[in-house]
Amino acid sequence: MATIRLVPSTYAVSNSSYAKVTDASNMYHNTDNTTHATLQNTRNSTRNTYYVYIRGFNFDSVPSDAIVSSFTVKIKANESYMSTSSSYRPSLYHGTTAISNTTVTSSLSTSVTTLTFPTGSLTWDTIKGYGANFGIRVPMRRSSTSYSSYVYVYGAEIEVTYTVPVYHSVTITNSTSATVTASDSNPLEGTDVTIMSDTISGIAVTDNGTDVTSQFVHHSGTTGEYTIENRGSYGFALSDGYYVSQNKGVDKTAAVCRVSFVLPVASTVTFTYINYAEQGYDFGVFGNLDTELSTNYYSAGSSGATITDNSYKLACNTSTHNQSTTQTLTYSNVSAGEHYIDVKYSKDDASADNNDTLQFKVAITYNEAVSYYAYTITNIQADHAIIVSPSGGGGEQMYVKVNGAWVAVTAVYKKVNGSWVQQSNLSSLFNTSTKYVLRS
Amino acid sequence: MAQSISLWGATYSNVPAILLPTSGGGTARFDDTTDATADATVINSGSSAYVNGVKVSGSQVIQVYRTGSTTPSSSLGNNGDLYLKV
Repeated sequence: MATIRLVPSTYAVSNSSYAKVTDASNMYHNTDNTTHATLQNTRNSTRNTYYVYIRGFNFDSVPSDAIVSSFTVKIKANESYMSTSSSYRPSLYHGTTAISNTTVTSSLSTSVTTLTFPTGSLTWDTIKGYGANFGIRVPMRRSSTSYSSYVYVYGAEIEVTYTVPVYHSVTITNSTSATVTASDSNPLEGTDVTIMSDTISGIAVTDNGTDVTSQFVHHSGTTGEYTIENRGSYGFALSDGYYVSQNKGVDKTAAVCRVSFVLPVASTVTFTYINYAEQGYDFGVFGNLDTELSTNYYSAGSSGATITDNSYKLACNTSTHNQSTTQTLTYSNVSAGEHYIDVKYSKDDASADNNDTLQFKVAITYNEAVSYYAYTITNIQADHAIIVSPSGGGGEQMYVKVNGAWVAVTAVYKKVNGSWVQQSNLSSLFNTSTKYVLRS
Repeated sequence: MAQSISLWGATYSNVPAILLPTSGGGTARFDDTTDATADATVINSGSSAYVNGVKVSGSQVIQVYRTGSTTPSSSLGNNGDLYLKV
């Protein structure tokens, strides 16, 4: 987990004649800064309102593959003889377009204060997409035409908390006739990987040198299994056979979970659900296969909540899907391999109705009956070398001593006709009439 | 190994080697090698040794093995060499 504070680098004004900024570079800092830029409404004839847009946050400082878990926008400022009416509070803008529900809840005061902006349903992807056009709008309206009035800005920032994904490799070296596959050969650190084999008879399997043959579990039949992982502040809990959203009665929240499964063959995934809530305002959403749903709730206007996720399979925001009885949603012909489906129940800004929940259960049906053996590597933290060898004499694992410790050899190459060829049979690797010497 | 030798009527026991003057002013050393056991199969190919008075050319094939954490580059090594990836 890492945190970075993005700072602005430029500004724009709504009126170049009456909105003046001096010492602008002083506000191109985070909110720890102690020197200020001065923003002034110079018009003393009438009480017009002028604006300064503080922009140019360095989004490129966040690694492009970072997974952002949270972000907070702040400004450190105070005022002198400015109007502090709630109508003239700073808020977040895209260009000159207001971003809904992002006005600070307290006005600027004569004391230097760091204010945090509500982000409403604003997502990181959205704010990042605004790029250089994203900014903080600071209104300047004189409290009286008689007074020179100022806003002093010490700094502004977007504090971003993120993780950079780490991937590992899972390699399979198979010198048998068994068909052995990994659900993911390049898994994200912390995830699970399943090794599947069509047989366990006559083979020995090692995982980084440890014999795991006995850990393979036989699976057969036509139905599959899945796991549920809650995401964000609220999730789903199992009750009477259904997973039930846990944000009942909590406005401005979303319960989100991820249904994960590994399919040995193409399959049908069926959700049986009850979505019975405040129609159009509080509702469930089922994501597309392998497509993430945000953990944000959907804010509502007069005609219902606006779905801010760009892609999804089904939103239960109409009377068709807002029912007290069970309904089904089917994902057909999902390919073999590792997949997930995100499920969300969003509650808007206020009110509740009916069950105020989304309940669901999942059934996975293989397109054909299967019989396979599976071994799962959980919470993967390193590369894994899976070696499949004939059992009873052929299951050797080679080790070399490196810096005083024996280390499992994950792959052996032999140079043949000028090219390195990976070897699968350690038993016949060495020529017994040849002397082998170590070179660095 | 050493030998018992006779020289101008005198006997000398346990002599491992004889040094003789050379025409150039130096010395030449002749060692007793009768107890050597090496043969061509234990002498590296490309090398030779004298065994019991006979020069023997080696036939022992030498291959290199290396260890590393990445896949070997094609320019590394010779045919028959091994690479152990850890």
